[in-house]
Amino acid sequence: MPIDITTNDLSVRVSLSEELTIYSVIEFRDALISHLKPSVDISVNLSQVTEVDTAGLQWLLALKAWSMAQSVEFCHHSKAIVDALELSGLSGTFDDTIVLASEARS
Amino acid sequence: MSATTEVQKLFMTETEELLLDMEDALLSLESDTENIELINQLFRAMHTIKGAAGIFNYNAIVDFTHPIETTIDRVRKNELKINSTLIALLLKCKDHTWALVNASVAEDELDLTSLMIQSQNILAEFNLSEPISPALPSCPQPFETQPISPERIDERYTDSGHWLISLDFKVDALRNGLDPLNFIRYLQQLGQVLEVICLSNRLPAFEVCDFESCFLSYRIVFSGDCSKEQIEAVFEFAQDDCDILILPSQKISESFQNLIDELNPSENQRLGEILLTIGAITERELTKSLNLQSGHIPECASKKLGEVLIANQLVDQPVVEQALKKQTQAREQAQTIRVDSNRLGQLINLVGELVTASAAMRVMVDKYHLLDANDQVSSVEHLVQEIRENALQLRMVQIGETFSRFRRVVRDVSNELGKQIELTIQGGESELDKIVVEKINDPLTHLVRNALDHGIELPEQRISKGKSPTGHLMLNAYHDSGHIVIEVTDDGAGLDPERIRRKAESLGVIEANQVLSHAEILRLAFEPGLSTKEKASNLSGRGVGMDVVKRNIEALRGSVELDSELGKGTKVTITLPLTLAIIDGFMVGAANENYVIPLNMVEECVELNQGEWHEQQKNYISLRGELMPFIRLTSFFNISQTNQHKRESLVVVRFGRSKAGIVVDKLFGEQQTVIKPLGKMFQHLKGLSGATILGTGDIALILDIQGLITEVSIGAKKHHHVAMIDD
Amino acid sequence: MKMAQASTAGDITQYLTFQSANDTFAIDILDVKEIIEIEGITRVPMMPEFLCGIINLRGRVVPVIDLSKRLGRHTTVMTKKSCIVLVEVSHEEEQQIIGMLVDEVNEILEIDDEHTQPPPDFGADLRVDFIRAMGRVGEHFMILLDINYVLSVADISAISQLSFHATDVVNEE
Repeated sequence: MPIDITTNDLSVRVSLSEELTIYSVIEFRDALISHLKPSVDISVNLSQVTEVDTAGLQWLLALKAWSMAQSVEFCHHSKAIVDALELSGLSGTFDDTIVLASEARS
Repeated sequence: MSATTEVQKLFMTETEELLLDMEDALLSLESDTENIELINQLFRAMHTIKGAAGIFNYNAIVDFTHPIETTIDRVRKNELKINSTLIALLLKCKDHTWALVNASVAEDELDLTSLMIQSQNILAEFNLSEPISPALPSCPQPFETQPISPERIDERYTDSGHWLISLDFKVDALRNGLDPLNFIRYLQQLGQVLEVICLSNRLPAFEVCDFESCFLSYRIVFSGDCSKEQIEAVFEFAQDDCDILILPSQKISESFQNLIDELNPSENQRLGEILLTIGAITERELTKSLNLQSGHIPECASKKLGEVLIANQLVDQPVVEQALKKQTQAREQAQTIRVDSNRLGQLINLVGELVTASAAMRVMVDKYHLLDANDQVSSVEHLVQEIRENALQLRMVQIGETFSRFRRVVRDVSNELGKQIELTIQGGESELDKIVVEKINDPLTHLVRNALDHGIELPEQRISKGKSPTGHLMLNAYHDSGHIVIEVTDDGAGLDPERIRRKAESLGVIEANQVLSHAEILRLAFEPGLSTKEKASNLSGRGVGMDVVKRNIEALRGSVELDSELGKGTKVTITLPLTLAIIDGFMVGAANENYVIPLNMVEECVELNQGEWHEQQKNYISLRGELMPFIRLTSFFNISQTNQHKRESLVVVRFGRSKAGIVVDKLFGEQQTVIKPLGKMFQHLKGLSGATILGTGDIALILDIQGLITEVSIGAKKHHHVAMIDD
Repeated sequence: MKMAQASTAGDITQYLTFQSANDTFAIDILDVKEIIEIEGITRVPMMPEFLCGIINLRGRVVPVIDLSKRLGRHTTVMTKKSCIVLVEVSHEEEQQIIGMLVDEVNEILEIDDEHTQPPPDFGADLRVDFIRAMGRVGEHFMILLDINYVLSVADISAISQLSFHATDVVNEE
């Protein structure tokens, strides 16, 4: 499954792969929503995302907004993610959480 | 009504707890308003309830709690201060929320409806400045909160001609197959995407968001060598699913204004057409606006269209104003008739013939003492004079038109050379003969380009010289004793007399030891081959071509003078006769020859009376104590004197600030003078500007007063020197 | 330009012949506009001596050149037979009418190209460029003038400029 969620009491780790597009966003959201609790740390690994469209960007934005009260961390942004963010002027918004996949590996 | 499920029961319990927390916090805050932990507690309560309600699609709860959450967030961020009023209000909200929860879980429609109205009322009390959208729940906007305006973008991109493209995608955009990212990619191919700002304040909460709908807007700062039409074309397929605005930067807006200014005002050009022609609006925008506008009173159509365009942010107000001005111009011009230049020329020639014929008639009448015919002939003469004045007036145009055309030149050249140059125009209403205006265009262009290219320095150079970085160029025109004077002034580098001198010496134009005044050295700049610029520029060749300028002006029977101070600037003064055709003349005689002096230069005539004037030295006379240079026509023109003891008269002429005396044998009087050019053979003749045919058929030569005065001054000086040396 | 087209090989050209400075000259008839009597030449000061002045030709100002003086000889003495030959010359793409003061106008002659020959290298005291060719009619030779040089506006204008600068402007009596 393109979304992988591992949880424990304190944190939820999400890993997305393949597309983060209009075709997958609802599925991703529905899978994740039940795990979203106020007191839990959430991290989302984007290293395997190969394709992003605007719906996908909305997904990221909405999740980030949700995180204002909690803590959600995006990490290991794949190239597809970085390109899409740059194109839509959102690189700055996700600035603090951008750690390039290649850097993470090294 | 279905039985409440386990989940719903859980929801109610949790919500009740949270609301109690909220109440506690509020009550504590009354005495401890700065307690950030209590405020966070409030926020968490509303946020969690909202989120949970969203899962169950209890929209009434979400709609109500969201703005409250926003308000509390503002308190968290110190944008809002908590006070007793706000606490009281929030307590009310807490109660109301509980009511909504109950009604929602019980699915009591009636109850809910009335509660929702109450929600609005309570929310109104919050005096929220931001518009709340009741339709969709949305999350707090953590990103761009201030509205994007073209002015703010302009502040950041002051140099560029850029566009601000505003894209507000509609809800079904993504479902219809569009993706904003693709459009941005398209734009990158068309030009430079300088900045992209994504607005996501319409984005609902993660839990409830329909990600397949589009909630994003974009503001894009774009720069490219393309038209508005071309930019619009990029979004051709998005027209139905997106609200698109293409806003010009200040620079582009100014360029539109300039383009309008340069348009030839043509009759019946509608506002929309003008704006379309220069690319300020696109066809689609015009059509849309006209549709919006239809139904308005036709006479107000234009104005209304302008208002529609401005209101819809399709055009800037200054651009619309400029276009309206141009329309007015066109309408005014429509009250004019276009006349073929040649026909007008023919008419004026005929008028000239008429003047001559009328003079001939007068001669006959006088010769044969036909007293009876005197009245009639006089009235014919009078009429002819009026026809003459009117006909010549037809050909007069304002020089302002020519001057205005230079605005574009100045702008383009300043940009190309990286200089800052401000153009001032004065005296644009001064009128002169159309033919002169046409012929003066080339020399003027040359002079202006000289000033721009070689005169005014680069901003850095100017600053290092203690000047303002912006150079100034002034075009000025005014009338002076029957002439029009055009001045081209710049505050640039000025001419270097040393360099001119050196060049002139190397060319053999002057001797190495020749003593020259500052004015004489500057006059050398008009010699062919003299150019003090080492490198040619593609603008004005070797930098001067002043000899060509001078020749062109002299061909118009005008004159040109240079005044310059090194480091300060240069002023070129062109003097031109108002008309090349017919003037009022004053006829005089010397020996057996007749000469005509332009009447407007004649100050006074004095018959020779020993007391009033007498010769001082060789070249000066003293008239009532005033000293002025003079010439005796017979000696100046080397005419043999037939009668040495004739009674001489003095004609005092004035040109600009100079005065001179012309000693003649006879004074004849006023004379309508049709100017016949002497021809190319006589081009270099100084002192004569043409000939005229008298009523008798004889020819009288027309004196070029300015040329005479110049020659006299030079000659007088020479003799002065000689006289001094002799002493 | 007209001159060159006037005669092609084997052609017969018509010439107007006239007297000036004790010589017989001829010019292509196609260049001749009009022949008029002398009626008041208005002197134009500060011009070379060979420029007699200007006349009023039906409302038009036309300069008149003393041909003899222009050719470097003596000043023409006006007699009853003296007249002005109006010629059309081209100058900078414009046609100008210039008058030539001559002693006497003779007949129009036809001269065959075969009867013309290039000007002599020496002997004639005229500027070489003034002479287009020598024409023979019977026993007599006459000088076929190149009118575009003789009445060259550029030439005359340049000379007048020089002569103007040469004279001292303010004359001492």
